[in-house]
Amino acid sequence: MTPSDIIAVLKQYDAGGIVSVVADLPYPHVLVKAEHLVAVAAFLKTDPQLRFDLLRCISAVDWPANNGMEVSYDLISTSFVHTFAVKVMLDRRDPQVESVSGVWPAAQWHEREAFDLMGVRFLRHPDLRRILMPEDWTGHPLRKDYQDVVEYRGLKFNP
Amino acid sequence: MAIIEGIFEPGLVVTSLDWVLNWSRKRSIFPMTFGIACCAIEMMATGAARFDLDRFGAGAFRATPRQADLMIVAGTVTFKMAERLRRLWEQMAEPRFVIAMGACAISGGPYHLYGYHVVKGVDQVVPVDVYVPGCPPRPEALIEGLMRLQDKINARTIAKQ
Amino acid sequence: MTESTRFAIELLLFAAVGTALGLGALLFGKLLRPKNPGGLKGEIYECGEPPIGPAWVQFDLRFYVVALVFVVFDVEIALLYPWAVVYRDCIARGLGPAAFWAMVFFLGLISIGFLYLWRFGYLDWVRANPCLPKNWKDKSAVDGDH
Repeated sequence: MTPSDIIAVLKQYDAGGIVSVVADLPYPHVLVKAEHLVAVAAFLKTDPQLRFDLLRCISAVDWPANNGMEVSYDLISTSFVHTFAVKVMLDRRDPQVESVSGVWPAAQWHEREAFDLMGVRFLRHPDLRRILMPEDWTGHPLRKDYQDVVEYRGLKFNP
Repeated sequence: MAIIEGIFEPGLVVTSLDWVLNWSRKRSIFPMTFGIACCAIEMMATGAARFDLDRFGAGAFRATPRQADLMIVAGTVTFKMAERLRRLWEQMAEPRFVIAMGACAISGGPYHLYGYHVVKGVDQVVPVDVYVPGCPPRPEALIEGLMRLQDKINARTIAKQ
Repeated sequence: MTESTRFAIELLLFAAVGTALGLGALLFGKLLRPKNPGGLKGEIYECGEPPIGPAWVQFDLRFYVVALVFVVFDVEIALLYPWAVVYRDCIARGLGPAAFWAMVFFLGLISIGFLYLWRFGYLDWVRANPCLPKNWKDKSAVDGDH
């Protein structure tokens, strides 16, 4: 299915939740409201025409100028071999969104990474803790306004 | 340290004993596998057939610190890894040595400026005996480092200083 | 001195030198090796992580069965050696069949025990009944369409 068809099917399901669409390559995606995310995700996975059963990647993008934090979910269907993406835009001061790990279990670790490095909180996540940085690290390193720590547990940051 | 160490003045017996001890220690160094990143590939190449480490007696890589003499830190040390590295170094039995292999282990390497997760040099975590520069160092460079370590072992003595 | 005295002295000397070499190597090591206990050195090794629980865990009982069977048959072999040494003498003195059937009886007795273990499954390493995870059947129902 082409991206336009996928968007058409999605609009039939939930036109109110969609904020904007982009149907062109290289990254066709749809921007949904954060409250509608899990419903849209479950629909994308279970609908017999779409069947997006593989979550490839979750990325978080920091937009300090717009005061926004964007989280994008890259999907691929192993049955039909079409790809698509879903994005949500969150408030940068307190980025929170419902976890999709109930729909795709692969999301568990991707969301842990987004939490660890960008500070996005995923509600009702089974195990939200740091995955790459040490457990007692402060701060979220990949944010644009991140300041390096001076020392960590006695190890100087810049000798 | 040892029962017999630091008691006798340098003399014929003590220096001969030194010679025997140092000879046997430097010819049978058991490295501990601490390949963390890309330098591990070069360490494996050094242990393999073409650049054989076993001809120096150092080909038996032990996975456990209890049986190892030498810890070759090959790769980038992150803050998360530094804790484990220190604990493993503490669990090695003396005499123990550390080779910092590669730019990352020496000073943070390419991550020196902006690496938020990298320890800038493993000598902040454990005391290092030999630094082998390179990114990654060629196997011949690692062998040179090992030979320098052998020279360092050769300079040890059990006589009273 | 008599032949047996000489033999005894040779044997004692052999044992003494062997023991002395072994103990000497240990003594040499004890004098020369560094001794710095303490700190984190004595901690249980767990690949660098802080250890969880003690290192003295209960071993699987199957190892015990294997070791027991091994000991029995090792002793049997040890008893076969002197028998093999005197067997030729026995034949020369006309006791051949007696010696032979005595040993066959001994081996047969032990083999019956071994057969018992084997047929009753005490030597099976892989268990016949696998331990499945608790929700095994439930999981296949959830992901039914994959």
